[in-house]
Amino acid sequence: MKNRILAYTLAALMILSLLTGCAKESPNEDAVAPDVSQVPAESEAPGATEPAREDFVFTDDCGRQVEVQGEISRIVPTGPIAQIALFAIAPEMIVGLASEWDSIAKDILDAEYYNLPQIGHIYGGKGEVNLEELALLAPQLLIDIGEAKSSVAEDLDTLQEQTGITCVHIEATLETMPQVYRKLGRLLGREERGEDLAEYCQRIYDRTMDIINQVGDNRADVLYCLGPEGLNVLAKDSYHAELIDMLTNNVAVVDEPSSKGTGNEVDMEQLLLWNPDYIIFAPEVSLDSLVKEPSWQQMKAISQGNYIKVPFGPFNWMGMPPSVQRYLGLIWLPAALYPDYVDYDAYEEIAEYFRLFYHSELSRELFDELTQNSFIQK
Amino acid sequence: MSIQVNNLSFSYGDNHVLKDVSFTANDGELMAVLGPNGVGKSTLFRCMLGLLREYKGETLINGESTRDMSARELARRVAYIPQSHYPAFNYSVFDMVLMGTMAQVSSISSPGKRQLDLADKALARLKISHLRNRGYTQISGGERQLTLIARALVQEAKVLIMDEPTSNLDYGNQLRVMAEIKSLAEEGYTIIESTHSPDQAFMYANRILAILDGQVLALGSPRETINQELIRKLYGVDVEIHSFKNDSIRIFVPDL
Amino acid sequence: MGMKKRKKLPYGTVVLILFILLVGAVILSFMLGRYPVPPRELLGILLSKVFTVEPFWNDTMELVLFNIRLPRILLACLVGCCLSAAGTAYQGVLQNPMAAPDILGASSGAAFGAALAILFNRNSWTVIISAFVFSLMTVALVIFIGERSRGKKVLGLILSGIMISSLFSAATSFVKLVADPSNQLPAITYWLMGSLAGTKRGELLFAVFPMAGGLIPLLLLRWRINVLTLGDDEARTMGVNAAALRTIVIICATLVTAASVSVSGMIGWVGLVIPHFARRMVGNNYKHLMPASMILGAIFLLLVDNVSRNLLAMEIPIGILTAFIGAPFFIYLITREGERY
Repeated sequence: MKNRILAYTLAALMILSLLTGCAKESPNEDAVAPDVSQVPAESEAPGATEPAREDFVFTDDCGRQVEVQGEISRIVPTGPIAQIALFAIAPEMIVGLASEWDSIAKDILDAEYYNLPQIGHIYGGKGEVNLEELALLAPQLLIDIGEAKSSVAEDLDTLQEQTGITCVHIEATLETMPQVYRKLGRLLGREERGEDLAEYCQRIYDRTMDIINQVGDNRADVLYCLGPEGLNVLAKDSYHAELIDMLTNNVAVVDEPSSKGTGNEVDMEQLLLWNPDYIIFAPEVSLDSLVKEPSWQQMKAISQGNYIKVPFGPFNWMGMPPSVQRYLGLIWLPAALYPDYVDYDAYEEIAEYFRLFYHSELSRELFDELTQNSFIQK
Repeated sequence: MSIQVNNLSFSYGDNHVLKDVSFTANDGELMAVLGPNGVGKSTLFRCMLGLLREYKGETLINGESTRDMSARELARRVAYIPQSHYPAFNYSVFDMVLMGTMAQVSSISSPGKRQLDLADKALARLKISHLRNRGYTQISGGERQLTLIARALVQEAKVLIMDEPTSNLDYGNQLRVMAEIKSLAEEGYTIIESTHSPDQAFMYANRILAILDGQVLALGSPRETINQELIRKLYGVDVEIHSFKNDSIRIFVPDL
Repeated sequence: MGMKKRKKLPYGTVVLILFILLVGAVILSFMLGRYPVPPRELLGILLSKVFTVEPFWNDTMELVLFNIRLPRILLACLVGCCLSAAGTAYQGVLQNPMAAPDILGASSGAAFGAALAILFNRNSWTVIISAFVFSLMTVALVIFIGERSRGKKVLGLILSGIMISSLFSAATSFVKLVADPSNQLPAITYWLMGSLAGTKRGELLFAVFPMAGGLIPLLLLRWRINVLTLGDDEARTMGVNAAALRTIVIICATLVTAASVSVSGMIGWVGLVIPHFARRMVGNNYKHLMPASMILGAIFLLLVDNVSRNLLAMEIPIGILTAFIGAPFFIYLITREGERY
């Protein structure tokens, strides 16, 4: 008898708790609701620098034709790659983040951008995104940027149908960033800004290629070590090693380069066998303790002090995620490895990138802090 | 309804458990099957119930061979009453009894009014209506045995096979359960029960089947079959037999 | 033993109450969501499907209700219903009160299938279908081995279920090891935690047929399942072909489990806890237990999913919530004194 009563009470409690939860929520709802209805009105007033556009049909990079509103003011990136790329061209349009900014970004980004609501990775896997939360943000566009998965067109169609929000995929690699920004400029009604960024990217890319051509056969023999122990390498020809392979002579040649961001796992003996002139460490490696270890001391690069650490802020400058911030790597790495061939001042150049892409002034102090171990100390 | 077993033999590999067992039990007969543990009583029952199929010989019910009968057809003719047990889940006594109507109800439906009435009648017949809504695992062993008998009655089979119905019961419950079994036989049920108690068999049964080493050792009325000789052969013990009440009761006293 | 007079609600009343609670829970869930839809608008939108109503709401509200909330509410009900029906059924055929829908490997097989699909191709349909197929294949393998076991078939089934489950779990671990930690591994981990987030209409349509195909026979055969709990021999002497019935029930339970798990990921505890909860309410007779368990499961998962989608701006995987609720309940079940069920 007792048990039965208990069972019914439990069931009743479950219902009750939800009812109270609902009641608690209602003032909250009232506060949020008018905000939604205000959205369209608010969007038209400020910041409309370009003349009003008509709605138009946009063909995205997987061939999907989508109806896009003329006046775009609210967008959401589907993942971190898109988030970084979009932040450069239209930070004030972004209404939700795919992933939280690293805490270091607090010193770099405007508080307004740093504190944007986080909704999670929208595309990829079943995902942790609360679709209603997304609908509440009422974006006009969901923008996916990066290298397409095979099912991207179908997946975006489904997402668009489900949420009623126009979804667009834009194909991007390191080399195609100029085109990406021109496309984004058209899509968002920011042609001028897009063109500026495109030209910037083109200029940096071309200059870096020039430097590398001049370096020619003098490219440094390099290993990129990552993981907490530094015992993973980004192997030659692997997806994430694109920048290393482009700028150096990556000695990590393995039979099966891993496509993972964590690279190939190797052991100390293999590292000693490769024994490169330079070692580039990923930001997560704790350099101070590692270089003191006798095993690492046997490495020529370590004993001679020819090792550098990839700067991190607000993202890894060499990739992870492989977005536009890799242009920071295109500026920094030649300056670190081939100072004789580089005629620009790294701080000035990096500060320019921060102005353009993060809309922030990079102080000399912060630069020094970010690049603390990132130049070879002789 | 009569049940007839003809030349039934069964073996597990080279182990011949039953050899040429033949007997007949007729309407209203209460047949007690005697024999020490492991002589094949259970195997015999399992063959008759269709739980073992690879036997030689045949079992006939009213002349029909059971070999080709479906489980459902057989269940309408023969009901089995196991020793009282604890099932994994606790059912009410009524639900337990109602399960006996499985063979009357189509596979995809539940028991109807007729079945519910049958169950209530069976409970009344065995005088356990007061247990109707009690949990099967919460009543006494004797009450559980009576519940299982009620379940066999709603099955509406006229042949009842019982596996040691009074083992694990206290003295009073043994007598109560046996009285019910005897009155069922008098109503016309054909009952075959295994037992370890020759005096009980003598007192209640009207036919005795004694089995030793898989073969029929004796078959006949209790007075003809149950004697010192049989007890010695079956159980390897010597007893004195004392007769009471005009030889309606025989008591076995071991030689001390 | 204190013989207190037991006054229990008749089964019909219990089911009626449960059904009303379910309807109430559905209505409640319709009103709850991160995107606020006031009751007036909600009513208007719902009525507009039947009558012509001048829209006084914005399009997003309608979209949220029908494309996001409705499929998810329906799927939560179905998955909850299926998992607890499967748990109830497995407990009966395996004569084991601690059986859950994953006892014969349906979940671990599905997990492996999903992980494998994520490893090779991220298309969500491939993941669902692969999970479904692997789930069924795993249980088929378990039945195949179980039927060949000597001695008690039920024990053989449970043992081979445990064995094959752990084999597939190991295989899933291996897939996780070789998966790309930047995108595949989180997707696999997330799948394993179970979630109804982002339920699509297509998924609902995919799942509903195997679910119906399993639930309907389970409902029809429910009274017969009782006799399986007594063991094969006893069932047979009562006119039931136990082996055949058990196989049918296991196939149905597996079908609904596979369909649920393939669209929702691993949601544990529902199939273990809810049947016991239902046993407490209506007793062990499957004629009453099965429908009560189904409705209760639907209510339970719907309510838990409401928490999962409303508590935080980000989704909380529902599998984690059910475990948090299920584990204490389970401890209560095994430590409490009194009658055995």
